[in-house]
Amino acid sequence: MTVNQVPFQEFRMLLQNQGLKVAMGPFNVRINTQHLPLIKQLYGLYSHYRLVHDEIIEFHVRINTERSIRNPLRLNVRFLIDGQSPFESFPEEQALAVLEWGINLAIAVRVNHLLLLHSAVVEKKGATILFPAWPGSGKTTLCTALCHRGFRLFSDEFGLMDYRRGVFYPIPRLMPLKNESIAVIRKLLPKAIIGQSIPNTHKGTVAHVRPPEESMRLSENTAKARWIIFPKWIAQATTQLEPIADAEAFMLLASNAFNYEVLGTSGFRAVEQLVAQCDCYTLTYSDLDEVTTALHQLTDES
Amino acid sequence: MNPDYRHHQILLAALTNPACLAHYTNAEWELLIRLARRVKLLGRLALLVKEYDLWACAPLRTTNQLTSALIQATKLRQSALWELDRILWALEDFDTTIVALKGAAYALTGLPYAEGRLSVDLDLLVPADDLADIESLLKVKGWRHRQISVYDEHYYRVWSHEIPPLIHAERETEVDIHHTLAPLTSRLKIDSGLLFANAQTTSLAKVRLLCPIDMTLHCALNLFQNNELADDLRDLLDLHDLLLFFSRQNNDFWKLLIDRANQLKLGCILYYGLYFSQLIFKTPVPEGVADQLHAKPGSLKRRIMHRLVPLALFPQHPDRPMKRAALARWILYLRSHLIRMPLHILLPHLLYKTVRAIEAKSKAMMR
Amino acid sequence: MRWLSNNFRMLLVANWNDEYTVFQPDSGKTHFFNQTSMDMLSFLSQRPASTEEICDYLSRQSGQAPDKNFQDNIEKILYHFDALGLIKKES
Repeated sequence: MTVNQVPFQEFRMLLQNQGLKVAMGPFNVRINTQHLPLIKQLYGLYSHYRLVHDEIIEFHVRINTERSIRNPLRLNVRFLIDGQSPFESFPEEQALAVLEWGINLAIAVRVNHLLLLHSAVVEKKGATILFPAWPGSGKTTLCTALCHRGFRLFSDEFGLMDYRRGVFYPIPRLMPLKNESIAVIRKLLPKAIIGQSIPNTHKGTVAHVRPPEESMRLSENTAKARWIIFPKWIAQATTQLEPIADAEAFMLLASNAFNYEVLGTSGFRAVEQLVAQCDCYTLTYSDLDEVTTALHQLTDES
Repeated sequence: MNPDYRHHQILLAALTNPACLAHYTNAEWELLIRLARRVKLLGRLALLVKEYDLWACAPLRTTNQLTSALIQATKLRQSALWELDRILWALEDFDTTIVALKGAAYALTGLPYAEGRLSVDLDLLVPADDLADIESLLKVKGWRHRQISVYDEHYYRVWSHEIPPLIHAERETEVDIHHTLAPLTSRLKIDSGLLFANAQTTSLAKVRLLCPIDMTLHCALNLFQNNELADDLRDLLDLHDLLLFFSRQNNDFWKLLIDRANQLKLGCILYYGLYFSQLIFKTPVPEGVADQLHAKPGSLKRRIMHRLVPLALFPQHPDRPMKRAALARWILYLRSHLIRMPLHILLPHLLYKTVRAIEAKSKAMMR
Repeated sequence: MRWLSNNFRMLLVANWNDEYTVFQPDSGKTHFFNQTSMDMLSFLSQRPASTEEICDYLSRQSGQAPDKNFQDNIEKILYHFDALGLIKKES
């Protein structure tokens, strides 16, 4: 059963009482909150999340509201995991961003049975493209465009690799567009479901894109990686894919992972295997239509 | 059983009688993992589940989390031991002795379950006379102090038993260098000379370990003097492990331990250590051992500590924290400061810490 | 003073067309080596050598003249490798 099959009142009761339990890729998350604006946003954006019953939950999170110390007339929200608060509170309008960010942090800090690459991942014809994060990559924007145009969304943030089996797990979640890219995507993809803009977060203005239903429905289908592409958005640039040396790709991939060093030998072997089996490129682009076409070409040729 | 304490039992039973895990429900596993994580015992739990051949019968979502914790523990231990190796490299031409403490010491001693212990920092004890030279040599070779406030600098330099933490520019492990084992402001004056005199050599030149009785006393000292006890169940389990491990190696262990505690005036500390280790982990301490301590806490203090300490050591239920436990933790927090500092230093210190916490909150908000 | 490699046998090496990514289990760090660095390490894994002997060997390997510049570079690499624990001084 998915969230959109539950009436809003029941959804609200779950969040306010025993907790909303949903699957996020290979993990289960329980969310509690009393904050009604957040509950409404979640109802709209989490529509295709699968509800979980009688399964073990890995992440128990909560968004609490509290009075601001500086300005007692204002409400702040605080993220809690297992009853503990890993960072400061934020203005209440940022509740959704704080929740999503908190869950990211929890996954990044706790999970070591998978290699956690800091990377967007999309899939076509059973093979994935990794877009590792590096400054200016615009990976979330690129990923949003691709997953509404023929690619399946794995994640805009995490490349979750089962390093024993060599496969990637999808973990499709809300995609937080930042600043100018919000308007770009609204124009490019009028049908995409995008939450309200949240100004003044630590990353500027953020708006969350709901992952496509198809990607959510297939979120238990794993796939192997076939391409590693380091994207860079440059104003006015034409789309260009250039091969990159394997050793350089290795170092870039490893230094953009959340837990590469924690995994020790397993991490090294996993990245070695990835670089050996994938074609590695750098990509410069400015136009999302153009880059989408180029990537379809690349994946169709193989 | 009082339902308020049922979660204590879920954690304790798993630690002391792992065979019972075969009958845990999914809900109990889920809570167990959350509790064990809170008190830094997830790695330990992973080792127990393996040792008792229960890996296959534990739910997959549970073993994934246990695997993750074990990998993290392995990494932290490897990093700490490498940091020690690099410190020895940096001090190559300097004649000194370095005593490894806590996690690194347990790893070098071969204490059972050491490979599951999560220890983030590398703790070292060096002779007070060599401290300044060691600090400047390390700084020449790439270690740095974190940016800290003038107040914190003063706190470390004047009142504390360690210098501000050092960290190498290219690595993550924080190095805490101690020159004695108790804060300078506390009433306990431990003669480090005695500790160095009995320290034992290791396979690494220059590196020593406290002798078994001193290592045990240091563990109790940390728990009941230097720490605030909240969520410190792991440290009490360390003490239990040390008592068990060393008493099996040496028949005279208990007598030597008592004599040393008396000599170093650590009677009260050891009393509490033995008392709570027995109370919670059923450590087989021979009868009458504690009676031979010269100094013991009075009966009122004992009764109060008996009520408060378990409430602090055990984790709160993550969804239903008890007010009673929060109060106990607050009282023990004050106690830990009171025994470390005289009032004229303590009150401004706590005020400073509170103000700074509020400032940090406001700053975070302004971002 | 002579240098020798430190636990060379334990290193995990991935070879990518004469560039190398190398995992050092003792430190848990991954290093990127070019051919010269790799030649230096494997040379020092066979027997201890002085800085001069290393320069001599590497200049023959690479066909570069062992001038001052070359020597300075080698010394820099040696210093760096020493700090990383990849090589050590012979005791």
